[in-house]
Amino acid sequence: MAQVTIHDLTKSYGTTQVMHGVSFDVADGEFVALVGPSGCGKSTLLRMIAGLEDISGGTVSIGGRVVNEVEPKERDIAMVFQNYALYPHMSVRENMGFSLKLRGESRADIEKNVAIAAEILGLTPYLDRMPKQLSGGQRQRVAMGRAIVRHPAVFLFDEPLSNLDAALRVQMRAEIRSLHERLGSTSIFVTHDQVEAMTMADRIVVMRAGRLEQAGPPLELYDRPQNAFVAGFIGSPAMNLLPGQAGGGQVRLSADLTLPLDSTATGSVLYGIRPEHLELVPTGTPGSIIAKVVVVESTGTAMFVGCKLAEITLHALFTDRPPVKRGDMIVLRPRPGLSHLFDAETQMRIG
Amino acid sequence: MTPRATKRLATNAALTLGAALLLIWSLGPIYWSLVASLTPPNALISDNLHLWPVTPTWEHYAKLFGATSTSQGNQVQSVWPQFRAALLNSIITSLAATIVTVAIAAVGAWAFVRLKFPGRDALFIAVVATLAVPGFTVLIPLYRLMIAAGLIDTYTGVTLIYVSAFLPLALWLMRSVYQAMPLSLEEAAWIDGASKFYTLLRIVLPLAGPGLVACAILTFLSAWGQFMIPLVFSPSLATKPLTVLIPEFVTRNYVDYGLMNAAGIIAIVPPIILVLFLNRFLVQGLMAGASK
Amino acid sequence: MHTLASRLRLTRDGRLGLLLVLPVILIMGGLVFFPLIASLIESFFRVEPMKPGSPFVGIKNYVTVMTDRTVLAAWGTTAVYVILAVVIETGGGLMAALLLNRITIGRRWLLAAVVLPWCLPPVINAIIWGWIFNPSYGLMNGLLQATGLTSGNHVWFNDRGTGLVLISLVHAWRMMPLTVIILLAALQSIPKELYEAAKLDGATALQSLRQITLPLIAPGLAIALSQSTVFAINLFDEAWILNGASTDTRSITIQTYISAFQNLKLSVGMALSLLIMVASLAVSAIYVLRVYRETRFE
Repeated sequence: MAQVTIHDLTKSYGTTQVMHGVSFDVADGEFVALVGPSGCGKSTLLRMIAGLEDISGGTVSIGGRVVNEVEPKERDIAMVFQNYALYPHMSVRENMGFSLKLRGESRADIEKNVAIAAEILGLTPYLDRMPKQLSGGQRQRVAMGRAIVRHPAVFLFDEPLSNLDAALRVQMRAEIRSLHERLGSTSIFVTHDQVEAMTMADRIVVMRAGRLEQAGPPLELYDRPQNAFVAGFIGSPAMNLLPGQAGGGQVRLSADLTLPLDSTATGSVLYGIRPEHLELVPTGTPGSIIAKVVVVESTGTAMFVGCKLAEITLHALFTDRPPVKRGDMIVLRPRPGLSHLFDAETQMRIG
Repeated sequence: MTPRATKRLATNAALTLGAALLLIWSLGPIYWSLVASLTPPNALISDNLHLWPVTPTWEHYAKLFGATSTSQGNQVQSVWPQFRAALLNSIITSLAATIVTVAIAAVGAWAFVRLKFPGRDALFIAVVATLAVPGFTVLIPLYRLMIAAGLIDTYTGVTLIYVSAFLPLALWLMRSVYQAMPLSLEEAAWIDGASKFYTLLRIVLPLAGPGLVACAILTFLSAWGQFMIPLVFSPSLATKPLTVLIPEFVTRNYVDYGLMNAAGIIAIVPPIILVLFLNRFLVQGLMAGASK
Repeated sequence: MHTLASRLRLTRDGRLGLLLVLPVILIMGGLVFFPLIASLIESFFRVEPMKPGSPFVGIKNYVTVMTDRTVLAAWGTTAVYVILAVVIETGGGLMAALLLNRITIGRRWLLAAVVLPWCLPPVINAIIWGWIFNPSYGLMNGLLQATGLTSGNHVWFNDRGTGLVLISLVHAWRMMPLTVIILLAALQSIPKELYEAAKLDGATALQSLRQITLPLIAPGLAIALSQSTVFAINLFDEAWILNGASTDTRSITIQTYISAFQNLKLSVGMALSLLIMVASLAVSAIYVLRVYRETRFE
């Protein structure tokens, strides 16, 4: 087991720089999710940790050792690929035992380790099948089995669930997490799905355009996003972010709409409020907004309401099924103390 | 019958007719040659046209494979020694060229796709560009080079020239095969602890099977059918292949059409076998080789 | 520090790469590029084994091959071959590809039959067809007489025009499969939905062909055309077997062979072969630049 330290990592292709000094630590045994929109550099970062991409600047350390110039096979890592990368011409058994065989372990040892891993993953009946005879979920398990037989210091996952259907994805999410608890290994998990990151990780690293936006435990990112990007990216449905002018304990969102503010900030701001933090209140409640309902979507567990007031669009989420329908005028109030405020210029959190 | 059904019937009839015409165009001449090879000499030169052998005979084949025979009243010397030598030469040079070409292309194309080395792209473009260079452009200096090296009329010489002629296409083909292969498989093998070369041997080559077969078929067919190269470089029966020997049957004192057709049929047996059993690979290979 | 090390690692891959392509470099370098350069240089000298010495003669060899009447006639013959072969191969190949694209039952075997002529040794093809064209006992005369279209035996290669057509036909018989395969691959890459949409828009079959099929297979057509042209420029085997060295049907490649290996004027042959190469490359370039580039849709 080992800790991973990323220090001031940069990556350039020719003159194009795609990663601009990313630094963070992964503690021994920690499960960290790397999340961000596509093209943010999260997969590149993972591949740099694996040794599949050259490092242009900065260092990657695994277990206290700088591994920039270490071959992938000597980094003591295992990786689960997005398309699983199972060797199509080898059986499940051979796929899982390949790395041990390369390491020159005895046949008995290989057999034993493969059997243990297969048992953990429920793959024992399938050991002699070829990859193409397996379902998507089984292939996914083989890919993980191939990783765990080696007892690596660090597991790397490159969007391993994105090729599975929705129900299986939820199931595998739990399985990977419980496997992590059981093995106690350090894991780095790349995903573009913030729900996956929120549900699985001890800590989340949010990236955008080759930069680290924020790193922290899931709920910290949800409760106190450090900037407008993280605020909008974490949480579903996304946070309402409304431009306005702050001053005198108030924020002015439009000519005839102001909301109270528990902040002394002034100037151009982005006012953020999560849809689930808007509540229906009686007409005339102080600090409330009157808006016209334009969209109502119900999933059964929750009701998503899109409404408009002047040029502003607001989304709200209710779990108690209020009798709201399209065209209604409703009165909404941000729950006190749950709003976020960001500087319009720097996009950074100011309250 | 409804109009739509009538129309469908007419379409099907047209398609069937078209397919029949296409079959006659493609196979008819070969069939006609087969008929001639099975027709007795005197029936060959009769005025009556028969579309199938009325009194089939193996006599032309027997002549090729050793039987002496009389023709126009004269005892004719057996052509078996020459035919045997040429058949062997064709087989040896084609197989040797195929094995060497596929081996070099299988390894080289992978290096062109997956390894970075100085001059990689320029070298690849230069090699593929030679596909547009007619054989004769290099044949004349090559002739003198081969004489100087003492490689005229040797298996080594002919095989080397075949390889140089068919390698560009083989490289082009294998490169497209490797490009279509997911890189993550090879990355998984590196992380599993395999060296790059071991990855090539254990992961890449086994998966490139169909591509290698296609490549081998195309190379073999090109070598088997070569005429111009052996015409220049194989002056004697030491290396002269069937393609050069068979036309020489014409220029003897008289033309034995039955014998020529029989020899031709023998010469097209290997290609026909390849097409019958491996046409899927062949067509895939041609498609990959022809498209971008 | 790490840049130096990473450079060292690059060269490890680089070394392996160079090692693996070394056979390619040696064979192509020694047997193609070196002779090519030698050809280029020696085409400016007089290289004739029958004459002593090999003096520099400037562009004399090129002047010879561009003014000599026999050589000029051979260029003309090759031009005829190119036109005839390209027309037959493209027309026939397009029809065959459209047909194969429609046929679903037994397509694999029909395709195998269609590809077969391309797989056979060109020399044997020519011999097979030579027997069909035989003046006395050939199928062609036989069929024409049996159907009453002609009487008496035609010696087909006595007439230059007929000879050129027949040689082109035999060449096209061999090369058409390549066109068929290329066009079939292009046809199969067209999404079916386009035709269904066109049908709903009220297009007839012919309109679909002209408005959808032809534009979308244009890149494939360009490749097929350039292949047909280059192979026709290099036509040798068929003409040589069917009608030997006869000047009536002598292509430019046969002329090169005769100049170099029968008249032993090696340097003249080199000059000629370089011109053929330039012609082939130019044709490829024209097709690639004009047709292929302009018709890419994505």
